[in-house]
Amino acid sequence: MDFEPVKFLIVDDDEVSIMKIKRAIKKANLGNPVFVAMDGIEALEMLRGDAGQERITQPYIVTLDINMPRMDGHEFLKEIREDPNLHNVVVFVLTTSNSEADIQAAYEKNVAGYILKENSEYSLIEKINMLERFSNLVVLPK
Amino acid sequence: MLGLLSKLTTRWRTSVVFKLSVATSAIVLLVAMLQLIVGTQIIRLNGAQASILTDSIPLLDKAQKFSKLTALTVSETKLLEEHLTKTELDKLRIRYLKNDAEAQVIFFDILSLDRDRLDTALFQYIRDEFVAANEALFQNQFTQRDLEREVQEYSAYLLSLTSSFEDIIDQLLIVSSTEVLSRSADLGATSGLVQKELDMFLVFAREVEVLNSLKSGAVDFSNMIQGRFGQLSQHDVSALADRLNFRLKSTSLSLTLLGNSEARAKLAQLASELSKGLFSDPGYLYFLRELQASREDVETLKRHRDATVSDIGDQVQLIMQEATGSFRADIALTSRLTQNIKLIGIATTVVVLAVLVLLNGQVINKQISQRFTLLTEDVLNFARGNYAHEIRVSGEDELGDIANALNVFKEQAAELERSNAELQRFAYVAAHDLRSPLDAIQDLATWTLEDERDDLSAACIANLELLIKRSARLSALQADLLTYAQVGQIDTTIGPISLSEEVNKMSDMLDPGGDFQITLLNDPGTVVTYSLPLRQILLNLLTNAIKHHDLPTGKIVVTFSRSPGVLRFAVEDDGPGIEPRFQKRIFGLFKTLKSRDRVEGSGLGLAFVLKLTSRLGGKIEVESHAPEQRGTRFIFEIADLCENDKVSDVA
Repeated sequence: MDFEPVKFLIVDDDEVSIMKIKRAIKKANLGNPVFVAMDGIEALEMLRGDAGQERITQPYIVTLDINMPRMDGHEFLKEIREDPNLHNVVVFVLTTSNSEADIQAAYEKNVAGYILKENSEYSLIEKINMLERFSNLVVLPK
Repeated sequence: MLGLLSKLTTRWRTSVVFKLSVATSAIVLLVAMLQLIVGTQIIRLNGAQASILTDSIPLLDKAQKFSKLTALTVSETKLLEEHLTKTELDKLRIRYLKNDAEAQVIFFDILSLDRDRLDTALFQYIRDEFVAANEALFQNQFTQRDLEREVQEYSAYLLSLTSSFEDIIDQLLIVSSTEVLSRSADLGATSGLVQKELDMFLVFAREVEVLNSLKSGAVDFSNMIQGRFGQLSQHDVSALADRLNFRLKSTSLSLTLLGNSEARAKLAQLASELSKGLFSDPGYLYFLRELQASREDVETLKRHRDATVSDIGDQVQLIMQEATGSFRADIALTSRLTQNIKLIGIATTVVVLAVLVLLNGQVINKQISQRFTLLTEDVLNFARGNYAHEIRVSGEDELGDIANALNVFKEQAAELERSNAELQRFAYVAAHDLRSPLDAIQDLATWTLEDERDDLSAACIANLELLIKRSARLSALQADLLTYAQVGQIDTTIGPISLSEEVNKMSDMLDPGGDFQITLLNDPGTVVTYSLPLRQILLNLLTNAIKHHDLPTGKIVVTFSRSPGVLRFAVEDDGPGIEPRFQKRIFGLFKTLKSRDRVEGSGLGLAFVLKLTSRLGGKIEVESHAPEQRGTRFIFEIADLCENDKVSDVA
């Protein structure tokens, strides 16, 4: 059985935020392939292979921001949970919003975890490491 | 009139106070009416009672006196009946007069009791009759005594006459008998009867015969007179008179046959005297008749007196009847009045109760209590922030006015809440949205320094470092602003909190080098209150004490105290203190007393503490006497929720 590294799909509309995550991945010395979508619609296209996008294949995990233009995190979760091909996708919310409503809504859509994005680079690296360990230790859907 | 009515109707519609005063006035009026009705009845009852005292009871007194009088009269009568003998007559009369005097007194008492109600004349007449009858009875009794004496005297006289008569006859009889005996002896001796002698003998023999018949008549006469007058009737007296008359006549006839003329004359004289003593007026028979008439008079008088006694009895009965009738009527009136009072009492009580129930139901309950309760519920609902709740009271009176005002307040409060919520949401979003660009600036500058430090000039590096510092300040400010904005949603979870543990933790966190000595006085162990706000307040005050201290080391003392329902904390430092003129300013938003380049601070800490304490019903004060005296003391209070489990609704 070939070892296939788990892909990360970062869904975030803030370029600096994406850069920050990428830097954290780099600083954590992880070799996982990283894909970036700027909103929910682009992420769906990438996961479905629509609109000329190359389809991302399993195994992968999604880090999802909540506040985004065009299609926000909640709408994206609703879409994939209703999609028979994508309903089992493992999603971690990675956001600055610690609003109770957001947390509640996310878990209702079966997210694997709700991670608060903090300013500290150190803590972000720690959280990225956790995601990597998680993706290695658990069996992801095929 | 119509104007007044419409005025009153308007008052009723527009004033609860008026309704209440109408209700109470109605009750007062009703009670007064009840008192009046009952009072009138009681006055009538008193009248009836007075009538018993002034009418019936005197009548009964009178009846009692009458019965005493009757008893006395009856006893008088009995006395007369039993002891009316001639010998005791004088003594009896004295007793009678004494009795009668007593009776007279009673009689006048009776008359004086109530002249109006008595047939005084009739009564006086009856009484006079009774007295007169008794008097006559006595007089008769005296007369009878005299008459009997006369009769006795006469009978003695007659008997003595008869006796003389008999004596003479006896002497004559002796002489004549002797003559007869001697003549019969002579007759026997001579044997040859001489006519003359024989004739003499016959004369004497006839003489003896006549004398014997006269004697027997005299004996018969004396027998008739002797002691027989006691029980004679009028008829007997007449028969006696006839027999005596006949005997006298036959005696006179016999006398004519008597030979002895001397004796005949003497006897005739006696017979004449006898006849005179018997028949003359006055004489034996006269007195006998008189005595008899007197006896019959006594019987008549007795009957007459008995009739008056019976009349008195009738009168007494009448009076008794009247008295008991009057008494019965008065008692009946009294009991009727009492019954009336009872009925009126019950009726008025029922009416008053009905009116009270009606007033209570219609006015006090329906118009006031129910609406008041509803209004209270509505106000409480409103106070809980339930602005959607409908105010259910309406009307034109004071309660209606309050309800209307409440509706206005409600709308204003709902509007205020809406705008507050919007403002809060706005503040939160604004604070939150500031964060990512700030973070980005900080990150980019940091990354530039990290990645390109070797290729940058010293000035460039200095500027980038300044940029990072300033954006860090902005970031901290933003974080504090976010916290402050979130005070609207204070975490009011109540829980136990160990003060010494908490102070130690804060001390470790704020002053890891141990330059400041933080002590807790009067440690109460665990307190129960809004735990998170207490932590936030304590942390802010301790942070301030260290941050604004002008020396590298210092002492901070947290003193705990407790009064009913309140936990009080004093946080005292030995820093430079705050001058009185600045003491108000420090609680304002974004207010600091030093440049932010010297002491990093958003100026939100104490504003946040003030907001927390006031939202939780507590308070905070500052005490400091700078510059004369070093040190600042912050005193704040927070609810002690250990005793009662009630969660305040303030938040």
